[in-house]
Amino acid sequence: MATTADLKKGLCIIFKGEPHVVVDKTFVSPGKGSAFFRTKLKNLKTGAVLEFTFKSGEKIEEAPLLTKEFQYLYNDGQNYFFMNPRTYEQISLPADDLGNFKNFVKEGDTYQIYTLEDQPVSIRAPQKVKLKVIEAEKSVKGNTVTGATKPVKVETGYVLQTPLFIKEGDLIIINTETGEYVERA
Amino acid sequence: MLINSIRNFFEKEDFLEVETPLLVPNPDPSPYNELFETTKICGKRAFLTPSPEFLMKKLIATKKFPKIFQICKAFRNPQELDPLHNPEFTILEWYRINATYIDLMLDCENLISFIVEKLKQKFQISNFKFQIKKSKLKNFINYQNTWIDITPPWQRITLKEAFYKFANINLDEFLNLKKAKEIAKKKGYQVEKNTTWEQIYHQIFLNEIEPNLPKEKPIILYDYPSQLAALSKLKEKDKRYAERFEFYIGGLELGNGYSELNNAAEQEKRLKADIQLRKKMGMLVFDYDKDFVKAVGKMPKCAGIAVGIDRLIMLFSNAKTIQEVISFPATKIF
Repeated sequence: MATTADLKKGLCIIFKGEPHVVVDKTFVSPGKGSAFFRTKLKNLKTGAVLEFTFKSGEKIEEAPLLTKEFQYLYNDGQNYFFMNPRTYEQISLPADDLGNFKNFVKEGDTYQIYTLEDQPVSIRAPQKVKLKVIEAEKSVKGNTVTGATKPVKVETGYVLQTPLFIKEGDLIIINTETGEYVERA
Repeated sequence: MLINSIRNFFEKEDFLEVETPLLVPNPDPSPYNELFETTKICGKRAFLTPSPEFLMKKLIATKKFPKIFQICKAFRNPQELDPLHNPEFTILEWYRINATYIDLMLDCENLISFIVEKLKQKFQISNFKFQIKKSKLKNFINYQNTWIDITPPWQRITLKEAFYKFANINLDEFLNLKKAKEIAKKKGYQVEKNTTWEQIYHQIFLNEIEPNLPKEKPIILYDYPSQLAALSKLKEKDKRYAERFEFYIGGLELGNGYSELNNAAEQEKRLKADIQLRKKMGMLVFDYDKDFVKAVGKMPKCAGIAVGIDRLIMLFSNAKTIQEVISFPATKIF
């Protein structure tokens, strides 16, 4: 069995009977001779994030999760449909399971999907995605203030604020957790 | 600027600024963190001090200095680096005789208010604002998207009240290891044969109490269980608890103060226990400071506190991690 020594970001564990992925881990040493790990755990079924502090040395149950590559096909608003490019097997995930990441899935691209006993559980969202800008207003020269931003639309239809120099056709990097602009690719 | 205003405050309060060595032969053996041992000095082992506490108490014991403060570096080697600790950090400590931890709580409130006034005069800081309520001026600081009303008096809550309010635990009962294990098990925590009382206490504190402490006002947690007395005096009326407090602003733990233990025999007992625990845990072992034990016996009634300056800077600059306020944090240079 695993222990807190194995805790790391991305590890999937069974916590209170549900599969969770470790999204953050920090070391805490509040007093004499006791050490702890403060973690943020994301429930892979509900997407809910909770905080839990483990005693150093506690036993942890690893979830027998597999990740498989699937290609994103389409969504009907409630469900997102994916296909295994080798077997053509199709699966779906409820929109809620994708959380914020549903703003960033692009038709035809492949994504890692967590499966538990062959059932899809959740998508393994990368921290950053690269997407093309399809709509951006032209910035007016001389009309700038330091730190000024403008709204742009990317190829998945998502709208976000970027610096003024971003123009249509640019590839930009977006943080999938916050939904915010990171840099020009 | 912040450090200047701290100096101004203590000058105004008639404190004497002191300087004590950072290299010592017998540091505080508290097994909280590992120490840094250096090369030998005159054939003797030498360590960087984890806090100036022992030396400042020796000054207090001379009875020549009623009120002293110091701003210096402190060195503690954690097992892992985290967003709230740097192995080398800046610490503020002050001691006053004929005082208790209650006097220090007032000092903390006054010090923070003083700093805010000073900073306000000098800078237009967007994370400060003030309001006038019932003809009283109230100062607010914005830290991590919460406006904190730092106007004294701050909220004070005993650990016993906090355990009851946030974890539904009667701390009097919980002080017993067997009972603590039962309570923790019932709550679903892993409890093993060798699980210690401190582990259970801290796991519940970290999971159920610390995250739920109110953030919109500074908070003083006080009267710690005697197991966590460190260098503080036990309460006269209830020896199960110690006259120790910590204060939090915006969820940041900023300071830790005591009515100081001034019983040499008790002090020696605690130091010996610390050294034993060090041995058991495979940490550096060395002789405890016998002069310090003597000094503790001579110390008048007094109270003292340590405040993390880097964390204060985090608060005033709205920084989420200590690394953001240190020019060369250990996470970057090691």
